[in-house]
Amino acid sequence: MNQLALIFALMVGAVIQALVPTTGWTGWAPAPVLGAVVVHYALVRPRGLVLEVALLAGLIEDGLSQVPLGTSSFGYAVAGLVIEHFRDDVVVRQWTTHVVFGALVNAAVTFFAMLMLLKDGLIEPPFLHLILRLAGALLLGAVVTPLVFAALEHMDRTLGHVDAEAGA
Amino acid sequence: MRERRFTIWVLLVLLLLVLLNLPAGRSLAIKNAVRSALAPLQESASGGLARLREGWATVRGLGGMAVEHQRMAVEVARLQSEVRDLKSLERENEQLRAVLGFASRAERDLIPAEVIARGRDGWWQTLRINKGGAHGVAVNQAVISVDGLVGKVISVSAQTADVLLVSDPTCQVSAQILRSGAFGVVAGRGPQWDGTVICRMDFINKNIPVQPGDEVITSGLGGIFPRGLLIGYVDRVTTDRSGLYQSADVISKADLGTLQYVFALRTATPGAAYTRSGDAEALP
Repeated sequence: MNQLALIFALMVGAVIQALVPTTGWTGWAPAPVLGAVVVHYALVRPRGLVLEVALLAGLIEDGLSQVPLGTSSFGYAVAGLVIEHFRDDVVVRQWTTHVVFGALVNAAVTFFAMLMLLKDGLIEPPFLHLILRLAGALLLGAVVTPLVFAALEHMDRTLGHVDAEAGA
Repeated sequence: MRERRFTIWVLLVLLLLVLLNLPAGRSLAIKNAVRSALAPLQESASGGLARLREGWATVRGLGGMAVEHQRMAVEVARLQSEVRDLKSLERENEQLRAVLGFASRAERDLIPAEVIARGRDGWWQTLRINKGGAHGVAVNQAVISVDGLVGKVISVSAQTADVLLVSDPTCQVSAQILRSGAFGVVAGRGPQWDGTVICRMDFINKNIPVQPGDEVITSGLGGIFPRGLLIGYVDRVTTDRSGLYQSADVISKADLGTLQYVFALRTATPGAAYTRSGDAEALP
């Protein structure tokens, strides 16, 4: 059931991410729905599942774009493990946690992807675009993650996952 | 326990390294598998969204339908008269070509496709269509809409294909100004703040006059885009910093932001709309 929920969340997340329009004011950064799914799993699920969701989310994100395969997986895996390491020090189910982690993870993964693409000479955007893109990633991560977290919590409650974990 | 965790970490790092360094062919195969798996979902989601938009537009436009109907009737009459004129011109053109010994226009096979997703990575301007290798779409085929050039196919899976839009700076098209015949290279200028699509035509001979409003078409040179596809209109003309060439801002005729249906162009002889019959015979 866990695996089915994970795949469902990733597939729906990928489709929503591809549908939400982007704007110039956020440097054309996409709504980070898949990144938010990774943040959710990193905050409430065991490490194995965190890595699995990070790898799959990255594969889907890179698979649907022109970014070299593995770039996002690497970023999400590192980000997921860092969050998982610090999750005992934060209030997991508080929206401010989701805002902060969402913003930081999205900006960090965007920065990593940007570096990789620049290194390989695959993009040559103006400097202003890069700055706007990072700021946009920070902002969108902060806005989208709490919404996705709430949606996934609702799905978990419907499937009975939260109760099982809270009781464990 | 400690050893097991260490092994897991090593395996993870190895897996990520392998993923990052996969050969291009394997990497493309994985990407294609992901795209094909998600294509039906993307298609139904974008289709549903398009129907919602159409429904909303219908509701909003109910009041103006009579006026719109009248306007369309006038437009149909104008187009019918234009078609009649063009038919006589076509006949005349064919006769003159026969006299000059040119072969007839190369066959262009249009593969109709629906846009199922737009590239949201923000680095490149792309869109995904619901036709792929199984339908005859191939890499480097030109993609057009009813208004003009859209871009070229850059990757293909069995059921989908990704199109690099003409507005992307990495998409370069050999072009020609229709009125004066001046050649140049058109490349996208990336996304604009207001959402308009602007391309730039560089390397235009400085001695050939170029005016705002001039039509820009594909020149057929370069081997990807056949000759004669409308790219857009000249908006502004400037002189190159070196003073050797002119440059022009070109507004794309196709509305790349709202495209829903496009056509992949399968040509028998890509890059050349016409061939001299004598040259064709000389080929092996």
